Amino acid sequence: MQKTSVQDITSWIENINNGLTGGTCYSPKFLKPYHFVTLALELKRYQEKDIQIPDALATYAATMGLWDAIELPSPIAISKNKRASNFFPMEPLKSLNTVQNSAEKIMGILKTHCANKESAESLSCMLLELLENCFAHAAIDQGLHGLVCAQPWANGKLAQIALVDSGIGIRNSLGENPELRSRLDGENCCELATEYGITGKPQKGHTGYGLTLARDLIEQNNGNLIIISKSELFQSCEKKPHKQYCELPWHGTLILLELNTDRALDSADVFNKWPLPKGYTNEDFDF
Amino acid sequence: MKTSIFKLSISDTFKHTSTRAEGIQAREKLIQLLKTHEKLALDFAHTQITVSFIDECLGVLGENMGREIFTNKITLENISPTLKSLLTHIMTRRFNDAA
Repeated sequence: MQKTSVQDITSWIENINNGLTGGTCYSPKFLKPYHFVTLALELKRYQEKDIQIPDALATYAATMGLWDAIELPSPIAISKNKRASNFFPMEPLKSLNTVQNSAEKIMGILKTHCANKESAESLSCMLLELLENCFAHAAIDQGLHGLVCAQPWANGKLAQIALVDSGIGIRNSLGENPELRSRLDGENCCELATEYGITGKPQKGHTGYGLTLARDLIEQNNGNLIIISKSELFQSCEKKPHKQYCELPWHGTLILLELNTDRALDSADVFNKWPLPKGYTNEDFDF
Repeated sequence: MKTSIFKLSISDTFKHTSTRAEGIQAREKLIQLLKTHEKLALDFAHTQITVSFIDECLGVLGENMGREIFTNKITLENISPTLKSLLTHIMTRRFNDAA
């Protein structure tokens, strides 16, 4: 199954923008979780109530929780059993409790698609980190909670997880760390955030593991990671990095993960490759 | 102070083990237990845990106590290979920061 391209996402964001500024939002024939989380967050931001979706797409949109996410009554009733087996519909991250609950629900769907038990454990660890970040960076005061949505495609041997928030963006977040300001002047902030040890809050003990773990695991899996924050984009697809400026910015941060479900994930291998302080080795402790 | 070892199951004791805030709550619980027990044996069986939780709970505790006291007072049981790699990474960073 073909992985999502940068062009797919940037043109979709343009499409949403067209729809919200008086035109029509043209939908691709094949919808993925990232389409729904981005659309829902923008509809919520614009407080759009009049949504017309073609019948052919409406059932799928309802299944993925589009109307629930924007707090409007769904025109189509979807059985919970159908959702539970094949999809993780959009869920707003309204509290810290929902972070772990959402991660558990997503893993309930994805774990049967993982290559082995260690892969499921690794995916769960990464997911929890990213969901916590997403929750922490959302503009909750405006009612714009972070959103997460996921779907595996068994025949395509691929799974996608999409997260969005409407917060201050990675550049502003990293800019809180004075030591990073000179690097931010010349570098793509989304790529910088995937580097080991990069954080906006070093004084609070944060070590910025989430996006580093995500990139390392996705590259190990030969998968696809796309990060868009405001007008900056970084992608690592099948280990090939790409970064660019986006003419039409996203009002927050979008993280898209695509995993090859027939390939293993091994977070222990990732942790073992992260640098240790001078003088320490991986054999220093006998836990 | 009683000379006792208190065994604590992480999965039974802490409902949520994902966020930094939950890691801080767990650390405070461990500090309280260390006031009434000489040693703690932490059982990580059936636990889904994050880097952030471990860093905030055990990493900060280790940094504050120092390596020698931490390893003397706290033992860790049922550690998966993934968790072992993670713990090694976090604890070395924190012990190094404390040194």
